[in-house]
Amino acid sequence: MTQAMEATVAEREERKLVDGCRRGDFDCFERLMARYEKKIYNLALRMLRDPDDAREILQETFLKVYDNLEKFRGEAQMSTWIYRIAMNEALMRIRKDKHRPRSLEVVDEDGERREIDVEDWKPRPVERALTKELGGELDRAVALLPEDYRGAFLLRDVEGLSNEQIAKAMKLSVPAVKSRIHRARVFLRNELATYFAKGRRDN
Amino acid sequence: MRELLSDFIDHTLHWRTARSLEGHLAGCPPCRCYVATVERTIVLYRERPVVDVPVAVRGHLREVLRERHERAPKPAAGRCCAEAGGTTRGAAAAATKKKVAGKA
Repeated sequence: MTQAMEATVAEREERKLVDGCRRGDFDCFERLMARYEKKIYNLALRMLRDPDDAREILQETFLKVYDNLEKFRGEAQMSTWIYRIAMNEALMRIRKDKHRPRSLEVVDEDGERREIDVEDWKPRPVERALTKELGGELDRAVALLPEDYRGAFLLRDVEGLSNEQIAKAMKLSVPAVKSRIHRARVFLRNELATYFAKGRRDN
Repeated sequence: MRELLSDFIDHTLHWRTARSLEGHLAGCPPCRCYVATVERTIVLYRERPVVDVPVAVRGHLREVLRERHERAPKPAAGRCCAEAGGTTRGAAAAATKKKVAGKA
């Protein structure tokens, strides 16, 4: 079966689940939830880096999905709609919490650091040994992104949404989405470049 | 130029633009390096482990939603289910709100 056919089958199954939910079939809702809960939980964890926040966002998201299923008319994909609710919850929570550390401004392209040889980025045994440290470095860098840059990056590069879907989910224009994703990538890449360069100096 | 390269990474460029950019990349080591390192950054981040939703959190979520579902009046005979559902789910929403605030 081709990918396109699989997508169509998945969409058709999802439509059946939504119809079931509207008829009041709770099993359908549970099955719908099972499709998305892990994605939403991980998205929330990556947005806020706090398991309690992630748990609350997960609950709020599915309560809103449950309460508003009739309003979902199928013009957008169910996944986009659920991500939109979850992202909105995450952004509201981040913006409400004044005690949360402020994110850094993303560097301008002009402020990019010098190029690092691609050779230095190829997986090496030492990198594999450092995976945990490297992962921690990436997590730290992602957390430094301003929240809407972080959200756009996660929806694009982790969840695989299109720019148009992200625009709907985050109530941004497509050019604004593209710009945020681009700048987030540049920022993360530069943070990693610094990390790799430091490792090379230390060795 | 860099935003164009970002579109190139996403495969969202028109094929003609993509082909001309490939021509540029073949002769431009800095741009090639840029594309390679951005792609590697994305791959490395995608490889970060995904965690399971804790069992207690899953259980609590289902409990809260099932309770909301059970509080909702059942659709009246002869009415459209979707129409009836519209009122029922909303009516039960406030009652469940308190429970949601509790820790799992």
